[in-house]
Amino acid sequence: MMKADLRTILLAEDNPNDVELTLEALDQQSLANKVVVVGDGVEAMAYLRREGAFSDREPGDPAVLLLDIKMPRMNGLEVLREIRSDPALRRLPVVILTSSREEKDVITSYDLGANAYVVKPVDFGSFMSAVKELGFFWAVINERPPNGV
Amino acid sequence: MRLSTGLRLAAGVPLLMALVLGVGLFISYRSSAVLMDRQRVAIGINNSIGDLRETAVAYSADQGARSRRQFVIKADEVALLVAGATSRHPSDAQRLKLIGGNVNAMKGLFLQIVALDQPSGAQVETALRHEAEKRLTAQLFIRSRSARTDASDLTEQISQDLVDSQQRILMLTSVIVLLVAASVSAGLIILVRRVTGSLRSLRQGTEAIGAGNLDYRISALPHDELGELGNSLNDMAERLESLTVSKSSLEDEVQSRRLVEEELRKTSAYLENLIDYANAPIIVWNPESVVTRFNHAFERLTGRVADDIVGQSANILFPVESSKESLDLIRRAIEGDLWDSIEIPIKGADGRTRVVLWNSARIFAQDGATLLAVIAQGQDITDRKRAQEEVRSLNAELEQRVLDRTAQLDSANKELEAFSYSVSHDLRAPLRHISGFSSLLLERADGGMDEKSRHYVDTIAKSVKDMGVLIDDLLMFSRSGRTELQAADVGMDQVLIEALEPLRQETSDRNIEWIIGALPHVVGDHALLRQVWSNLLGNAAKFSRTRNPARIEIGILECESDLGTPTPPEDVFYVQDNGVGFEMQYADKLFGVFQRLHSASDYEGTGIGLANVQRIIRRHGGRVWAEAKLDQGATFFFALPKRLGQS
Repeated sequence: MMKADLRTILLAEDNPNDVELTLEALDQQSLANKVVVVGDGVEAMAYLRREGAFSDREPGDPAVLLLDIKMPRMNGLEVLREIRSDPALRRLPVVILTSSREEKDVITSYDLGANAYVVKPVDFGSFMSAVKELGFFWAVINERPPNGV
Repeated sequence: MRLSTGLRLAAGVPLLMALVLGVGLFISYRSSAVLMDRQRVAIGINNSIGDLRETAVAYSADQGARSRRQFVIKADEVALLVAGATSRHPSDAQRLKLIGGNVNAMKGLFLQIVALDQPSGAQVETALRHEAEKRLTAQLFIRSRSARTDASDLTEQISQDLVDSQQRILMLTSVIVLLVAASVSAGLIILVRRVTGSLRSLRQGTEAIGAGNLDYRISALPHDELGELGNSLNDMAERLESLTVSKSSLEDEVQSRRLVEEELRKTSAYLENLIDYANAPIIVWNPESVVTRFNHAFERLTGRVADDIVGQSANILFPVESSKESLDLIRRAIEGDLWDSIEIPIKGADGRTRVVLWNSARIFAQDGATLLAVIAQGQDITDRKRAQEEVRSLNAELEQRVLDRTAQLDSANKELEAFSYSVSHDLRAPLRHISGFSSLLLERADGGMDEKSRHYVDTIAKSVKDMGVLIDDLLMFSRSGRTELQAADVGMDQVLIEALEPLRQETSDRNIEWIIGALPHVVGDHALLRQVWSNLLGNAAKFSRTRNPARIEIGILECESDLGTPTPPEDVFYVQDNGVGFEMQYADKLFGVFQRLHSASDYEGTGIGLANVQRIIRRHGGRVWAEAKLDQGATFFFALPKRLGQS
């Protein structure tokens, strides 16, 4: 069961700079969890459903999905809607991690069933602490839903 | 009682009395006859008794057989007479019995005398016989006298009765005659009196009625023939009166009809002129749709003269394309489907069509059923229609333009929104990266960086921070113009506290004297009003940074502002500080976007805050202004319309 505790963190983010900064932050948190990065919504869904490039991956859902909104092909809100309407995935913890403070985005995200909405702080210090705390909370503290249905 | 009855009574009563008189007389006559019979019998008896005495006297003288026989016969005759009288007149029986007795006694005495005279065996002394005879004869005479007295008494009695009877008859006759005379006189007097009274009132009545007083009625009429005559006279007077009344009303009617005819003539003349010279086209057609009247206005409208139109079918007036429809309307107007502002095009002599608005009415004969004509009056609305058409097309054009503009605005708004979204999202990401990587660079150098390099990196970080604030302010400004106003009852005290709290924490190291007055409730958007207070309080704190103590006063103006009496009433809020102030000549630049009156090195800021304040206050229907002097503090005012119902 210890292995299960170290489930992956899935990061859906198209901007390589953000990916790098986020990974840096998670790295500084010294989490043992593996972080998988996907560049858009389509890849994210493929990973979650073990399809295409991810058909060979080990089974099991990630501990949390850190989901950017603005991504090519399929954006974060579409991914969220897809997850919540999929019986196999609908309990997956999803944290929206975005630059947008738009009320519209916040409301839509919660309406679609986001577990949290975090605005990426511009200031690096704040950004680091936010990501660190997120990783720690969702990968370690949070009790995950039972895997699979 | 009717007169005839009265007269009949007046005649009948004497007749009846005469009858009674007759009957009385008859009865009296009968009783007189009886009395006379009795008298005759009594006299006969008296005479017979006399004869009997004479016979007895004669006998005594001769003693003859004849006298003897005569006496006996006469005596029997008298007895017979008396017996007969007794049986016939019982009332005399008493006296007759006495007479009969005396006669019988005379007979007996006579027979004794006779017996004395008869020779018998022994001769009786003659003297003695004479004595006896004398005595017997005397007795016989006495008896005879007595009988004759009785008979005479009877006769006298009967005579007396007869006299009484005759007196009675006379009395009865006199009484009846008197009664007859009296009743006839009384009846006549009554009748005459009645008749005279009635005749008098009749005469008065006939005189009055005859004199023309037809209202006169004979009153107090008796229920008799004269009364009937009076009633007939009354009826006659009544009939005469009604005849007279109807005659006078007939005269009145003739007079009023004459007046009505005059009025009619006048009205007709008015109407003719009204129709002919009315400014509106007027047309009249008969039930066969033939035009019977065509006024001057219609001539002007069509350019045709009435003489060419009157007598023609109305069809001549309509343009070909609408003539079928219009003729149908004409037919329906005749049937009673009247026109009420109905549009019918009319063709002019020049071939041009005028649009006319029509109203129609029907004219009936006196019986109310026979249609005489239909009259229609029109209003030429060709010019109006044209104007309306122009207005309509202008309106449509304007509407289209508004729609186009709205669409442009919408698309501009959408673009702005998309732009804002981009700014919010895309512009922040590179900033974050710059900040992140410069921080990582600093970490990585880990003291291996000289002072200058460190300064560069710090400046990069600070610029990033400034730009972050700028982006946030711009977004806020954009949002405050775009988002819908959530109007509600807002307690300004509460909003002020919410805005002040973070600022107090931020400035906890400073000596600021906050003076806060009581604030009213307003109608507005809570979040936006909080931005207003945040901005104004933030500015006041910022620009009084050099003061110790800084003094910031918040409140509302008790009296109206000096800028004139505002209508409708408004609440004027102010924030006053004792900061650096500004020169009033630049006051108009205060509320422009990116406009600043102080250098960024002295007072940080993006130049968006007050523009945002102005935009929010204006969206609330209010206004904002400021008063200041350089170095003597500044006061910012904003006015919001008073809540309805607020004192």
